[in-house]
Amino acid sequence: MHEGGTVWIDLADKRRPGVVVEARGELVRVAYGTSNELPGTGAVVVHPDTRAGKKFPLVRTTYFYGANTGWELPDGLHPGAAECARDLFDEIRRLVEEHDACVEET
Amino acid sequence: MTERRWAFDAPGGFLPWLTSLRRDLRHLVANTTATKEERELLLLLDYAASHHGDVLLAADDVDDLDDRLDDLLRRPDVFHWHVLAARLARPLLRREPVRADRFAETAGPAIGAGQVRALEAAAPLIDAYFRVQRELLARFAAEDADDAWNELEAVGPQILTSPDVPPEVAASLAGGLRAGLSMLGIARAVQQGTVVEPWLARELVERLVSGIRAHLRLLAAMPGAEVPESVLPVTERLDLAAIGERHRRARRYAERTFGAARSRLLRDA
Repeated sequence: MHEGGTVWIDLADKRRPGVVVEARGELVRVAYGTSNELPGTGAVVVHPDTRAGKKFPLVRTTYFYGANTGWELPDGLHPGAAECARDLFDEIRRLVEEHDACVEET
Repeated sequence: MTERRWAFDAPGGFLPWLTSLRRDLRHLVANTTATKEERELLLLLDYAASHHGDVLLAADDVDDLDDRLDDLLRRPDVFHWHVLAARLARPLLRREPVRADRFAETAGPAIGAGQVRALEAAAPLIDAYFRVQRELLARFAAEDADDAWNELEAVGPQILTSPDVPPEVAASLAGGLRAGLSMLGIARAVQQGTVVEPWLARELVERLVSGIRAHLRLLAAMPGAEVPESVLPVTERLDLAAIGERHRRARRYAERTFGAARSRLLRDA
């Protein structure tokens, strides 16, 4: 598991698409997506029929939010079909970093 | 890692400037007035044009082209080629970069009149980019280039995905690399005397120009870089101080959550 890889992660009885945003020691930090749209919350939206969506591959429109990340053991993750599209990776990282900085500030 | 260093941690922006000199280098070699470094550099450029440029010229459609660009950005050999070329190119820093209109003229037979016009329309941006690259690289080379390049060799293409580099900076560096690779694709077609399919020529030129713009957002934010406001408005340039501050806070958060998660997960495992 490495930065920029796509993964699938089982969370709350659902298998969700994710992107590894940091690999460190025994753990990886995954930004995971959801099909729930939260109006008014900054999100990176990925559609299944796009180049980025096919990398997982997604089956429905997916929203990545800055707060939706977690450190995980790689054993609990399933590799995605291909590497995350470069532009999507940068967008997700930016959203996560903005969230992290905001939380750290408060 | 300092903000100044971010500009060149991936020597991507170096490549368009270097490729623009290719025709001049060929003339020097043909006239047997080229130095040893200039000959080596031309060989390197021709190697990259054939190996990396061919990869792009074989694209089937737009998505395939972007996949190929993403793959090239991940390849250690592509990254190391960039570093090697950047190291060899130091003697060329005294040369004036080729103007965008001249590059467009050279590329014309390969990319067609429509894309020549697109390059000419982007000439102020491209010329400003070449100029600022040369200025900053000359300054950088005079300071601590050897240490920096050695460090860069050790890190490799992971620099573009590293959590230690702010995402805007990584995106900007990737833009520079994308521009360089797109330029190599065009250079390869020129080298072979082939005509690029119109859709591919359009997409290569679009990625060349948008990649330059992305990288210039970073370069123009460097102290001492002179980029006219008409070429890139100040509002489009990266605010490195703000990004740096946000990045430091975000890293503290990641550090803290990593520590907590590690204790919990390893205890439960």
